[in-house]
Amino acid sequence: MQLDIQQISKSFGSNLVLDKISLQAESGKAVGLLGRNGAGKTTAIRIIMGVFGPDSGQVLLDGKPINRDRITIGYLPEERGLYPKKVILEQLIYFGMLKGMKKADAKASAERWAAKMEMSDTLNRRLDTLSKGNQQKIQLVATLIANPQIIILDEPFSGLDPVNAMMLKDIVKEQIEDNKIVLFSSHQMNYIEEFCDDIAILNGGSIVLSGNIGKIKRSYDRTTILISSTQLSKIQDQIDYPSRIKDDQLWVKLNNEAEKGDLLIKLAQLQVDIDEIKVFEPSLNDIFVEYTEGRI
Amino acid sequence: MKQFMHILNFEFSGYLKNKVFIGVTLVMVLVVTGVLFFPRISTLWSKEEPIPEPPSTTEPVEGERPIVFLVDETAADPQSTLTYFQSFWVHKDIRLSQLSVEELTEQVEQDSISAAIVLHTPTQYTYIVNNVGMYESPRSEISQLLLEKHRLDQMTALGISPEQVGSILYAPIDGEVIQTGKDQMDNFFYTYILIFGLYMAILLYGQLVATSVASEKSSRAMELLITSAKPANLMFGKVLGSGLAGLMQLVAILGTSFLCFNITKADWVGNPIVNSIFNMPVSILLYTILFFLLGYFIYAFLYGAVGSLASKVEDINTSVMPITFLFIAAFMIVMFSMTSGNVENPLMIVASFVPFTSPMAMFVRIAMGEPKTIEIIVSVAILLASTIGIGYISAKIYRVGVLMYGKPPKLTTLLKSLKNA
Repeated sequence: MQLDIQQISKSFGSNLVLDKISLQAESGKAVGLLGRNGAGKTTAIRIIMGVFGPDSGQVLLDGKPINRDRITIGYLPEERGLYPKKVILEQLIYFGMLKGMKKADAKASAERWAAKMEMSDTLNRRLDTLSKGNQQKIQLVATLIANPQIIILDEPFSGLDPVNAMMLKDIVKEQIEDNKIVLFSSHQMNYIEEFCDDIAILNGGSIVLSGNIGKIKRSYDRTTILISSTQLSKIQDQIDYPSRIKDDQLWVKLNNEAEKGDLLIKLAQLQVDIDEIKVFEPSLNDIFVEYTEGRI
Repeated sequence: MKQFMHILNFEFSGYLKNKVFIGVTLVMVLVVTGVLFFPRISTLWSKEEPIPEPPSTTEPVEGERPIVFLVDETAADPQSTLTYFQSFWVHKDIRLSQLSVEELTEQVEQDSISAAIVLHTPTQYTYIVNNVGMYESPRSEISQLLLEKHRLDQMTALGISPEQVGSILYAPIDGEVIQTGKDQMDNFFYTYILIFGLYMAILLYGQLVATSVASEKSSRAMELLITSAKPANLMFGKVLGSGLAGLMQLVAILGTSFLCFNITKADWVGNPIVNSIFNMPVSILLYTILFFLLGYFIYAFLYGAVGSLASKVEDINTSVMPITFLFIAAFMIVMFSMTSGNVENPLMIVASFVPFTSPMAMFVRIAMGEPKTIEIIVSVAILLASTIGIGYISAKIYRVGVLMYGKPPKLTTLLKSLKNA
């Protein structure tokens, strides 16, 4: 399956929230939707979910306008929300049934997911008796209960302890391997890098950068070399390229990629103890900041 | 449709699982049962007095009767005057006395006697008493007794026999009334109770709908609901679910009261109010249910829409104020018309066709007045059409409202966003 968001625009009153954004996602892959607060992520997600329609543009599934009665979308909202005063199993069954499941199937599915997340013993309790992290696991059960083909996760890791985060990571990976379309929105870039092949950075209502993370990173010039060594100052004194020491590493700026060989020969001649030499690649964090800073 | 049924079921069973709701219903059922069984229970406690009667007719216990001194200054025949008073005031220990008004006043003040009557002439007296109870009217009572005694004495003096006097003074009058309309007094009690019930139920359940929507919004359960179900289904499911719960409560209370009344009927024979309530025509009961449903829905939709605009449950009270005022105004019009005795006044006739007032106004006209059948049909049709219209608009407001957080929007902003929705 392929989800195609084409040229979607949406404004509320005179406020243009989304300006012709396009985005693709396909089965078995996760797409990271990045953006600062207020960039329009939630609006985009709501349009995909059909809460309201776009002013222009369309959402296609396999080339045809998406029919939300035929497919199931699982959504984990950033603002977690279930009924705090109701018994967990009851509301999970309710949400399953709202998505068209039979009561018995919904119950079985809720129990299966709860067991997987080690939450079986909480099913007959009220939601507000649970800790925040455990409430979030229940929220995830509600997202996945109807075995959705499209999964939208908005900040799924916030509030989880490392063990629970690991559990969630495994579940998300499983869902991706299970050929689901996963849309993943987070400010924790390490998670995005871990799951997503593709990203789209939304800023001020437009997509400012999108594509494969690896390709994006490789598109940056590869002329900054990082050297780790116990003799950084000695190296810095002996080489002719502009350099500085930062974070226990020597940052060497070459004029072009062809100079990499010259640098290696020079280093070999110096006979210093070197731990690591690598080309500097910007982190997703750096890229995100670069594309969104001061632009909102 | 399936989704709508799930929502309806969830909302309705939410009430059945709510301990407060069940508790309130049970308490109301118990209160109704208790009130209707009260005469029977109270006779169980005091077996020697099978029917509690007003104290004036109970057999007095010797020695405990209050002492009343009687001074007859007319001196004609003090003993016959004493006998006359004793025959009427069996609950008082009446004794002849020769004391003066001042001496008697002193005795009354010291509580050694409870009261004293001094007859100056056959038609003039002084009554001396310390405290007079709320429901006692000794002056008119004594005056009446003396007036009758005076008439009797005068007529006897003229040679008419006491029997003849009796037949002249107390000739029985037999009359019959043929009534073509309704007796407003007769219908007043049950109409009053039903209108009050309608008022309470609509206000209570309307508020519950508003609170429920707002709490879904504030707990952000709405985020998941709105992405899992159609907003119209959510709105109609909630309103209908609460309505069903309300109807169930209404039926439970009405049913219990009719059941209890049927068991305890015999105990209420002498009580016109209770009899009037339970002998109301079946059609009135059916109208109660019809107007409860229509009135409830039109207000519940409004309450639901307003609830969707509030971000916090605390905001609800101020947000629903305009609707509540509208409803209270309707209630006031109806209540004033009922107590004024004319339910067919021009204001009521207009109110019985205006959707927001007609559930109560038309109901009262049916119960206590004389609306034409066509008027009832037109009123119900207008109400039904408006309820559907309001439901449609409310679902639209709800759709826009549930995603708005922060301060409730101004009316103009709301209308603008409705256009876009």
